[in-house]
Amino acid sequence: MDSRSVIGRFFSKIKHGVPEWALSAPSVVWLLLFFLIPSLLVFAIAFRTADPSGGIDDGWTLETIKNVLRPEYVWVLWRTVWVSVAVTVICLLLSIPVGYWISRQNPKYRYWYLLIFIMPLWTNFLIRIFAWRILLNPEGFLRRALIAMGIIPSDVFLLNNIGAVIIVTVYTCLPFAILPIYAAAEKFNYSLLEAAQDLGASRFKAFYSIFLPGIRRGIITAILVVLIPSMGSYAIPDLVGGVNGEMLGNKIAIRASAYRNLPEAAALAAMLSIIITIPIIVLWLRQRRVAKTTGSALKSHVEGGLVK
Amino acid sequence: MDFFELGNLQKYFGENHVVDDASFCVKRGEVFSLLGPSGCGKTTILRMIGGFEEPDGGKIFLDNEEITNLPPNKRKINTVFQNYALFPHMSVRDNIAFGPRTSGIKEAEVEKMVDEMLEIIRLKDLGDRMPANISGGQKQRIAIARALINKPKLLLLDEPLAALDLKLRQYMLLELDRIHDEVGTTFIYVTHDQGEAMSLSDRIAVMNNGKIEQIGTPAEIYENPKTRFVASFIGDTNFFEGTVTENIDREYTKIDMVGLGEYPAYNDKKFEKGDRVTVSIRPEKFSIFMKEPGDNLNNCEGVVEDIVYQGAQTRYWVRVKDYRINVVMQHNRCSLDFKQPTWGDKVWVAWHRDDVTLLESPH
Repeated sequence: MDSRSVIGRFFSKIKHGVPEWALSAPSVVWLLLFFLIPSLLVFAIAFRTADPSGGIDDGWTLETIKNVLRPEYVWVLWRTVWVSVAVTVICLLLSIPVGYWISRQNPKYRYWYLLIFIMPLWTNFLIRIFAWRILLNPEGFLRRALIAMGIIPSDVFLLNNIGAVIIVTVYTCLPFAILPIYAAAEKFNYSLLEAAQDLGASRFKAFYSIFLPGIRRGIITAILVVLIPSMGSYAIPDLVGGVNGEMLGNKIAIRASAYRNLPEAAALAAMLSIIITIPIIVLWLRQRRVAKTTGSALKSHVEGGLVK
Repeated sequence: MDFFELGNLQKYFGENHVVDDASFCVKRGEVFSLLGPSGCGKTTILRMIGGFEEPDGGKIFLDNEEITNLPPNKRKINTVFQNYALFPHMSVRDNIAFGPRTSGIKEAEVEKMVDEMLEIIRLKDLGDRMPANISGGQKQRIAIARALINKPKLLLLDEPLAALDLKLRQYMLLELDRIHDEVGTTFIYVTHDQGEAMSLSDRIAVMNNGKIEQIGTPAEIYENPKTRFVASFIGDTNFFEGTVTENIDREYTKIDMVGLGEYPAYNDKKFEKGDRVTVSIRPEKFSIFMKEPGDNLNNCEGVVEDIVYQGAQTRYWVRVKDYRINVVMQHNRCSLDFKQPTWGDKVWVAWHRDDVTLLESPH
């Protein structure tokens, strides 16, 4: 059998939709090799004893797990969670009006507006954070101007605290929240808002009872793409957070590099993974329910691809 | 003052004068249609009545109250939108219940009202379905129920049947008529389909280029169009250009129809000698004769060019000099029993002087 006929048969099979498993095999293998197995290794390392030279010893222990449940870590974990939730809420509050606004503009200009919001991504992530360091600097223009205008008292600092972490994380995450919300808002049928007003709803009621549920897929995606990266955030708290702005990501980095304690770093990383998995599972279940009620499971499967 | 009144309504979109001095009245319980080609301004008028567009001039009154500047949620008016605009994340029941719930009616009462509406639209078993899982005709009826449950003083329907296929459209037309009889609400119905407007409406306003050309009952509009546009938009017609040569008496006048000769015609619009007119004669007002007809009828001689047999009727195109006259003959008796005109036959096309409509000539 020559190769042409083999390829031909392969494609004709695809056309008839037979080997569905074969089509998904490459991505499944990829995830298995480079995601699932490494994750399990990290979980496993958390139970090994540490080698003083920075490696892993042969023994097994539960000490590390006990160690990372110390109040010091739980405190940092709590801070990580509330900062990430705050960042997500602020991002949603900003991106929903922006997404709504862009989707109501003349289609000719929509992509230009979108471009404006995406343009910052063209500059390197670290450079943008350093730019914020300059902007928020105690001797910087912004703080002086705010004090001069009497907006903040003179003993308030903008840099090296948790506020700076939140501001800069919101700044970096915002485009990723705007994109899915805009995509959902663009498909939203705006005559539904008129219908709601026609049936007696105020503009505000129409917005929250019809528009927000109408773009819920976009909102769920935005939550995921903001919440998860901010929980794992490392560079931003490191550069603008100062001592009190530390998050779990920084602890992991310090354990792994400065303290050379791989098992403890692995235990913290495992803890972070578990915490991050919770919102994913909750939102995934929600999306499945949404998909069931709208009766288009396939559509959500495609659109919700990011969740899986 | 009538139940609903629209006075000198104006609307501009940029330079476009989309609604030009529109005025009409609607009586309580009436079905009133706005009929016209797309882009004629009918939907804009409807949106101004619903409160979704602000008029640039004019006033709107409903039940002795001026509503021109009220927001949509403060008007006792509900709309059935062109694409139904059902809320996709709510079940059929929740969709219908949206209005009463918003106005704060108690839940037990709302449930009762929804049941009642589902009864009226005959979809009792579909209450728990989602809008994505029901057919177009069902969506249509639910949109109507969702509007009617609020007991509006006026129901606006924006091309409600446009998205349905022919059979369903005919069925829904009867349904709409039945629902109107049952609830008695005043309807304002926007459509570009003359068949829908004719069969449903008590009165029709025919619109063109932002202007209302004529308001009347379906029969008045069909049989006695006031303008050339109305004559051509509603049904088929034949146009002839002509000049008034003499007024016979107060009712009749003689018209020189270009290329055909002089014929008497009914002159209700009081054209004077020398006026240029357009003569409009509907295809079914013509008869075809195999030999020259009697003295009572106007007639002219021609040759059959095309024939389309349509079962209940046959459509002929007869060449008379420069004209191709469109004639429709009803088969009141079995058409096989008689010799029918065929291609190339010499025939006489005849019409009665009363069946002529004289219109202002565009020239």
